[in-house]
Amino acid sequence: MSALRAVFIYEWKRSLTFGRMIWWLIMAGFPCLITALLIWIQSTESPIPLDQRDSIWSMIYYITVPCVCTAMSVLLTAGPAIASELEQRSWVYLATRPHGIFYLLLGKYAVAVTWGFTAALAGLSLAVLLCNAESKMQIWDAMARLSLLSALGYAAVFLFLGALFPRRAMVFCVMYTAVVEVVLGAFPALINRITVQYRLRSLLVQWVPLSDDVKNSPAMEYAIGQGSPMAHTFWLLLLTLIFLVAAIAVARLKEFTAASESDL
Amino acid sequence: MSALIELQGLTKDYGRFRALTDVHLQVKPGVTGLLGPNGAGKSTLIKILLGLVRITSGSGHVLGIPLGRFASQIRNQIGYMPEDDCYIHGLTGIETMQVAARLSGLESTEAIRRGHEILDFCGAGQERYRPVETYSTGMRQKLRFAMAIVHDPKLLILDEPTTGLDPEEREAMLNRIRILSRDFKKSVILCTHILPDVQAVCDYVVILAGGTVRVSDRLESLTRMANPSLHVRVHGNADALCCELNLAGISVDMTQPQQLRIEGHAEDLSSVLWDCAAKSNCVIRSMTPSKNSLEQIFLDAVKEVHRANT
Repeated sequence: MSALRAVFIYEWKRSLTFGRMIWWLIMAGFPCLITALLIWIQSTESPIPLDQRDSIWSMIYYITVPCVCTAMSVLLTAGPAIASELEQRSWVYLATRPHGIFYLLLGKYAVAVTWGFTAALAGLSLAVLLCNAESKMQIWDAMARLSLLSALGYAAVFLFLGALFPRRAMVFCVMYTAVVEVVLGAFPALINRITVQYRLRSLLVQWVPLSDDVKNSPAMEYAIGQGSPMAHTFWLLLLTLIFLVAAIAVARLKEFTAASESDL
Repeated sequence: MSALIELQGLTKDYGRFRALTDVHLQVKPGVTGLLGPNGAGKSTLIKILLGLVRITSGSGHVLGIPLGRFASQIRNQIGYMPEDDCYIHGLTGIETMQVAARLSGLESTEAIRRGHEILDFCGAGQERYRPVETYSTGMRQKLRFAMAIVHDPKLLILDEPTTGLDPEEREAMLNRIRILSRDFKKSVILCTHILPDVQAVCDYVVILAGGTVRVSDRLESLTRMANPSLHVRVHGNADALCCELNLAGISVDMTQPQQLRIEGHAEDLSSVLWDCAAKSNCVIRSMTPSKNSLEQIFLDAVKEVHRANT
């Protein structure tokens, strides 16, 4: 655990660069910006009917917080976890520590989760304060939980993709998100059950005060699962664990060579 | 003396490229110089020993542990100093040492204590509190060396530890290697292109070329000449001395002005040599058994590969 703590602390310290902080602020500011825009539109045009406010704000926050803010923050930290060490040529040293690979990846995963979750939580808190929803507390609570699960799930997925394709980690992570999470995740088939999105959507409808129209719409019928929140959370955490173990296994088995290495 | 490393018929392919071919090698305790031209397979061999790449065929043991599945057990006992910069961006020297120590299984307090102790041994002063990105080449080398030994490994693998160092720093680094070997009984594999470094600290030499082991022996045995001869430095008329020695039936070469190589054993030659020197009015300044240069041994080993390839 000492090794994990060390990696976690020092990875956080390394993350506190000006560029990263700006990116964190942009991510945290995104839901607030969307909220401010919607409030401005409501003040200039027609306001959202009272009975639909919670549904609309919930859907907006679902898209902006766990799907965009958290996933993007996590993408930037977990995706290049191995690539950054390879570029800095520190991978070979860290990998040759007795438990280097295991703790390094676990530490980086923890940093990615906390980085993404804190950005989401900060943005969400401010945005919910600004909005005119009726059940602010319930929306905040649901979105905070969804953001945490999103950070846990996506960080594991991106860490795995980063281990599998270290040279093009970001490209593959973006492609995966677009093709698997967005497109395949929306298909009413078995495959969407192994996406993070499917589980998050299923939890969303159970945790937030959506109107009956939204809940009973045909799109929702296919896009969400019928199980209990506990079951969806369990499957999402299991998926996270599988991706995390796979990422560590790939990193241990794969023969990484530094980009500069020509000497065999 | 049991071998630290034993490799039998080890072969490594990267796709269609064969990096190592049928390597048989025994490395004994002490300091071993691992030499070879670029592309000889040195880095691949090191990565195999560290379990970073898998072998295609063959087998081997490192510190009595079989290669392959037990890589982490091997790594517990090996300290590796890579050739490339491997510092962790954004941290100070002492923080880097702490991460290295804690990744090696040391607890927080022990990691700090050990980090300072090793940095002191490596001659790092207050620079340890500066971010590693601001370090000079010499300081980076020290830090890499310190990171390699922080967990007190039995075997050290040092890849080009003196490259880029000024003469004073280079001597200090070689001295640290000597201390670790002599006083702390650590075994060291020194991978370098700087042959004087090998001559200065190594007990054994392994020369890899073309993916195979060309030479593996004690440095002392290698540098001993096949035909005994004497290296003689003279003052005065060296040409006259050569003539006198030839007249006495002794084969002699003038290797450099005032320096001769005379074939034969010292005990057989000394009386004749002194007589000839007296006759030719020459002063003998020194008389030592000739040795093969490591450079020549290295070039011969590499030439063999070139010849085989062409």
